[in-house]
Amino acid sequence: MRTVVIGCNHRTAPVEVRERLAFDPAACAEALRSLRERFPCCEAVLLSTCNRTELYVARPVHGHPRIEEAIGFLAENRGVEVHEFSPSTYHYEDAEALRHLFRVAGSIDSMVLGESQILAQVKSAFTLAREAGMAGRHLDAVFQRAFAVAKEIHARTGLSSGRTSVGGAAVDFARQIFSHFGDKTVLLIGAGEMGEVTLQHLLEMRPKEVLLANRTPARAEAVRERIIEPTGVPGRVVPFERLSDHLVAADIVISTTGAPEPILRRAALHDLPERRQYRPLLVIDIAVPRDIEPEVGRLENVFVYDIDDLQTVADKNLVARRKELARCEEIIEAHVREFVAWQQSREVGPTITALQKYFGEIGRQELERVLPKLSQVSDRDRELLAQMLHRITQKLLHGPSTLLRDKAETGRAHLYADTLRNLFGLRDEP
Amino acid sequence: MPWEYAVSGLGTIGLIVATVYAALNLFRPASRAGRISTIAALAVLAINLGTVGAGIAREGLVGSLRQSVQSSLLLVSFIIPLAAIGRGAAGMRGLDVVLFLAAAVIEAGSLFQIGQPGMRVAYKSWFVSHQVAFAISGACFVAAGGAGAVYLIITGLLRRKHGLTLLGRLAPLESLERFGRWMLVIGFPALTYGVLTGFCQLSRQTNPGPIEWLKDPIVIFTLVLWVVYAGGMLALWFQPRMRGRRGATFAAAGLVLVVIVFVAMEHISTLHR
Repeated sequence: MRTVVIGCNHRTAPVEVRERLAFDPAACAEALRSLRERFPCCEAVLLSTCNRTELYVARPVHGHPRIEEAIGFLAENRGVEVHEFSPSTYHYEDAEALRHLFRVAGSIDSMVLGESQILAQVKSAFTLAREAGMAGRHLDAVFQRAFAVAKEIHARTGLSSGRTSVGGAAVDFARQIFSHFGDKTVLLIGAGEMGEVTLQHLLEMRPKEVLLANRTPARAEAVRERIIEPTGVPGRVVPFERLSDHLVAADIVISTTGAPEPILRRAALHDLPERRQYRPLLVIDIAVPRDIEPEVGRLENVFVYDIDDLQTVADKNLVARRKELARCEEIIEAHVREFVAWQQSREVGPTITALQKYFGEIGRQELERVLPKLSQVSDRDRELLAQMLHRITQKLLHGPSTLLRDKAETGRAHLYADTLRNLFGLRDEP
Repeated sequence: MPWEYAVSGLGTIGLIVATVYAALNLFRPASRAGRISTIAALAVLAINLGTVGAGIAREGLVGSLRQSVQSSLLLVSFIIPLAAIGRGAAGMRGLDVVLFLAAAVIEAGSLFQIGQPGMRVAYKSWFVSHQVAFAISGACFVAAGGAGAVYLIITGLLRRKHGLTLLGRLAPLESLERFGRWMLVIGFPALTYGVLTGFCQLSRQTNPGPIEWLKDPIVIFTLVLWVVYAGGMLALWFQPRMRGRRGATFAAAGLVLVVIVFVAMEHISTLHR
């Protein structure tokens, strides 16, 4: 079997092209069914995310679909002219295809290096293909290996360490100060877009409560309904005028107002640590101009970070992740080599067995045809003749078998195996 | 005698290796550094416990633990599991570095205790618990001090906004504070028990008498240590101001005092030999 992938991603195709090639799960299942009807001998997995659409196919060496057929299938299925997206596509075969899949699953090929979502998306795509009966023995092995590679990359390298977005960096700060969030209160001041994004990240930590303070309570209420309510975390709108009281209750503050001057000054907050019983307070000031006077960060157990600090952390994390790329590639290469060798040996074994059986059967038939014509053949003679035929078969097949096994180690056995199958009309044993 | 030097020397080297690799593990969490550090520390633990065990088999429980070097090895043997707990618990990253370092210092200090005679006093076997209690309290105070030191380092990084790529690789401040407090809660009663049993034994001493024993520097410093920790514990419990950085500073400073009492004072004390 050959493994082939065709597709396009955020590097090769603009969003205008990607959106036309995108599949939702229902369309994906339908496309797989259609593919099976047209190419019954192949296996396929269709991966469609906002950044890529890829069709993974496993087919017999001289089977279908070929690259052009697969591209044509995608185009036809999505109602797009081939020439419109063909220049944006890439295709890989065999070891290259495996390497590509391992890179995708390991999040090396992602727009945000090391993000974890892609692995779940690959798993979903594979599950969908399996449910559609399109992921057989071959692709099952390929994808299971891809999941193992992704797991190893995440476990053995720092590719996923640190956050690479401003909102994520805020979570990193929070996790450096607090160990658990079930008893923590988050206070969102203002309702800026970045503040909402940051709040969404913090809501993943499941805080005890979220307080929303805004000069326009209706806007705060809208944020509560839109962002907080769906998560199930308790949230309530509190009066903006009593901000200092809310600061006493809060553990994490996100400030994102459009105020031209700082709304929290050190002079006004000098007694805040005492009122808070010296509990740590993390203040994330995302507003520009800043909402919090930087000197507030000098108060006991108060940690203040602005948008630049968050961006710096996000950038540094991205740089740190890039440094891990070489180690990730090493892991992937090792798996590609190992998998190709395993796959080839797995394919070669049945071919050799089928070949031996085929030759043995011819010998047996000829022996049975000749024996009745011979006079006075003892049992001993029969046995000797059978042994002779067996030895001839073994000697004839020794060369091809050795060659196949050698080629299995170099990863090119499938060409020879497939040729032998076609030449002699061999079929795998069930 | 040479084998004791070998034990302490190997132990010190092993703990230095554990410290270095524990630090490397912070920067490359997925590398083999963590495993190497753990193996080195466990090897030292095995050697120390083996040595203590061999000493007990040779000289009996009382005779063995009279030796200062044996007490130090025991102390280190209590610290290593605490560091391992720090390593194992996801919330205590970074603490292992400080604890392995402290253990290395104490193990190195034991090199200078080799050959010194044990205490020349007769005591009953129950009094062994005096030394074991001090070893437990010492290990707990070292752990609390280590947590305090890591707390101060992280606070410094957060305030100066330096080394922020380490975010998430070090223990959260909240975990460190809680761990430090628990160590003090366990260590202080052990210290109190050690002091009380010491006084019980002291009252039975005739040559030299109780007064001479009270003048022994290690007794004076131990009492100072007890008073300091008693005051600190009260403040930690009843003064919110002692939360966070101040509490961590207290625990870290206490660590220095503990090392003085447990290591340096062994050389100044004349009666505790």
